[in-house]
Amino acid sequence: MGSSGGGAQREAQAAEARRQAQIAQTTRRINQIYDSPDRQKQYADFGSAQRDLYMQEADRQKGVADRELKFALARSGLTGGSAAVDANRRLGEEYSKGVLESERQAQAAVANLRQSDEGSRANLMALAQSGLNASAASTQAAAALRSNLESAQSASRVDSLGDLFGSVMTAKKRSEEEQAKRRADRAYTNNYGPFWSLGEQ
Amino acid sequence: MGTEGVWIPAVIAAVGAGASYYNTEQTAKRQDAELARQIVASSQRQRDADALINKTLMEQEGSNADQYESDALQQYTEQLQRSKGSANRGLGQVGALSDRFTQDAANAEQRIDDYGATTAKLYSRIDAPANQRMAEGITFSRLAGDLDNVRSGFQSDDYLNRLRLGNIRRDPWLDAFSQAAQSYGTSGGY
Repeated sequence: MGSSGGGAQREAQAAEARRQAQIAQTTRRINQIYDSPDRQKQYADFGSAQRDLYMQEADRQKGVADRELKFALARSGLTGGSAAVDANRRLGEEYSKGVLESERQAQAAVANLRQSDEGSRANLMALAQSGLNASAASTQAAAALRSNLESAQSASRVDSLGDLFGSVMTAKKRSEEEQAKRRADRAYTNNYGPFWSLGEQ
Repeated sequence: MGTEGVWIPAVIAAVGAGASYYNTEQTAKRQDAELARQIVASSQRQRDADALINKTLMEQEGSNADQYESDALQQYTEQLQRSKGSANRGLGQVGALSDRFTQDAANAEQRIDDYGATTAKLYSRIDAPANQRMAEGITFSRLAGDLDNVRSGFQSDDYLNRLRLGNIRRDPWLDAFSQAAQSYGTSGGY
């Protein structure tokens, strides 16, 4: 291929190597961000805050209900009776239900946050990939163009060499034809008389 | 006519072919240099895109919910302070009050304050991750816009690059000379 072709190819290779390294590094960094212990701790803290908020409200309502039930039973003269046991059992069951509901909501909130982060990770990854590949299209176009040029140059050089030998061969053949013609003329003149002697050419 | 009838046309044909080869080589060199320049320029633009991504990643790496939590807590606390009078209004009785009432009212006020503070703290812990992610989303949107700008630059460069490359052509005078020389050689000097 001669001296040409090296510069663009070297630059393209360097750009591609750099791009690949950048993609690998960026992917690693994004994963590190979302898998970091800080984020994991944050999920736990977020869930804990949700749980505490719900439990605070459940406990507050339970406290109010306990007091109201206590006075209601006392006013009705049912304190210490089976009705009191039954009412307190129902209150306890409601409270347990509230506790479980709180936990369920806290877990759902944490799951939503995680899901949101996974979506965010995927978006950032796609965004970064698209940005890191921004030059890929033009570099590939340049490489394709380069390949076309190489092909054209190669064909051109082959044609040149073909022309070179073709020209020499044609000249040689023509010269041989001339030489044969001269030899034939000389023989004809020598053999068939002096009248048509044309002399040597 | 001696051997010069053979070698002179052959030499002229060879010179013509050599000129054609030289022209091809020179054109290829210029195209290669232009392509290399374009790839370097493209790499520079890519560096700009990389820098934008890097900046966003650094922001993301430094992204922390603590600041959002303290900001939210401060706002909740300020709101509680502003509404403290209304919250405690029922406890502010006037007249001859027993010590017990006064003591209970003071305790109740403290419990209202504690309840508000605890709830504010919980709210701020819950709000902080959401606010943090909202800010991260804004950063990503900004990055997307910036990358679109870089991509537009790439497309513009790409168009101009093709034009520039297309304008690098063979030297027509050298081709004409080469053709004439080779024709002369082919015809054997006639």
